[in-house]
Amino acid sequence: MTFEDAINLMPLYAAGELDADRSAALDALLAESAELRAEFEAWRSLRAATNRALRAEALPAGLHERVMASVSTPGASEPRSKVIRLWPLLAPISLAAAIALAVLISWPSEAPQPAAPGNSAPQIAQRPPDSGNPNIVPAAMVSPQPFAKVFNYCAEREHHKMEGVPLSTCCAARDAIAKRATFSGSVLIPDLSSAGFKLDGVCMCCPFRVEDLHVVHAYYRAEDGRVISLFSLDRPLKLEGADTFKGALREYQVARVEGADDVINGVCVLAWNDAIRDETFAACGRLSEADLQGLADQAILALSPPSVPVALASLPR
Amino acid sequence: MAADNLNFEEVALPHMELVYRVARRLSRHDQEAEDLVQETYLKAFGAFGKFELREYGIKPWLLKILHNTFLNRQARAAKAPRAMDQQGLEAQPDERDAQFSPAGLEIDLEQVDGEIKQAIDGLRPEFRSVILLWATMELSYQEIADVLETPIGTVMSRLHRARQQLSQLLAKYVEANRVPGVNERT
Repeated sequence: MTFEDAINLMPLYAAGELDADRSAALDALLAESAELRAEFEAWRSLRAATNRALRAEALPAGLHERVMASVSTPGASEPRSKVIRLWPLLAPISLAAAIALAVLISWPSEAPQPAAPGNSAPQIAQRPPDSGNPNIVPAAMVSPQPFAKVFNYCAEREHHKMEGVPLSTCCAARDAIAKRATFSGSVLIPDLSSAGFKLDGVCMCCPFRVEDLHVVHAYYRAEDGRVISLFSLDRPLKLEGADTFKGALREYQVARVEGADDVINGVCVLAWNDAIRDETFAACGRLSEADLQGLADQAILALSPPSVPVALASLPR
Repeated sequence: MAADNLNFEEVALPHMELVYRVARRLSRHDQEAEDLVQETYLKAFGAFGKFELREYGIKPWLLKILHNTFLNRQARAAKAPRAMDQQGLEAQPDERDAQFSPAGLEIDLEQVDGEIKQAIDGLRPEFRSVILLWATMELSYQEIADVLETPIGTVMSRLHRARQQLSQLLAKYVEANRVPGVNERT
């Protein structure tokens, strides 16, 4: 064995992964060479230090269970298809833009993970399978704060962009996982450009730790820097501490986040339930209640018949 | 032994902590690491029928899937504009800390570990992978080469270059604190 061979094999020797013959040969060289002994010590120390530094990285709580659940999901390799339309009908004037904004997205069947750290786990009644009747699942009470946290995390702080995730693949890893175990679908995102807000991103970051709660979070940015979020959730919800008032089209619940973290104080949350589809929509922003309601009304007003777009209508349901 | 006779949960799940450890350092991000682990296990689960238990078990196979998943995600992310996230910003070393470290104080092992993690995070991905597999996974050169899908010679050269880079990254801290157990010579 040459000195060069010994140098090359030293990492394995330090790791105890060298076979007996070559170990014996290296032992002999080590006994003769101080330089090799120092080399050995360097590798041994590096390995020990790296192992020590990384050993404390225990598995995050719940990850084992989530992986267990995902690999034991029946039919995990047989994705199903479903279309979720947040905003069912489009005005002709915004049709082209809205089609361009349709994004492919997947609903996770396993418990969605909150995007914003530190989210609490509010009590939300889980929707029974195949339940489309709002009478079966009464609206559950939720805090507005988790909406504000996701708004801050994804929309204001542009978390997904910072991760280098393009618009169409936000929460990419989770989507990729979901595709194996769940169905894929399309989500139609409203065009708010006439109000000065351009679509900035879409993700499935869920404000709540609730199994099988499906959420789509779209966020928009105006040229003056204002940001708003629009959430769609697949069950009726009520905002804690919210005032209720009648808007142009429907009854809204509105709450302003106060007394919480500095980063979400002052965020206004406007929510309404869609009884027909048994869903809840929530808009978030650092806007006045009137401005937020104006945007919410405008989004809906832009969705009047008779403009079911052919391209979208042909998508699988 | 063919996978037909094996139970995925029994064979693969015990390695999850190791897989997470590598994922965490590869991705340098908590949530990303969790996503990587989940995706790795789902891929492994889906491909388990093709897996054949070799003499060194399932670990290198899982690590190979993890590594490929990580590379795919990197390639995808590279197509989009990149910026440093909050966690990355917070993790930036503050040079003032190094300058004003009080000499002669007892070494804080947690701080040392933090410096080492940061140094590993500072390596290029190909060097980070090889050093993680060598140091923490008890894999042979051949196994590392299999996982990374590179020749053994490349593994060896990357390992040496990784050590060299780690030494450079840790040099300032070692000099300031004279940490025992961290290579001072290289």
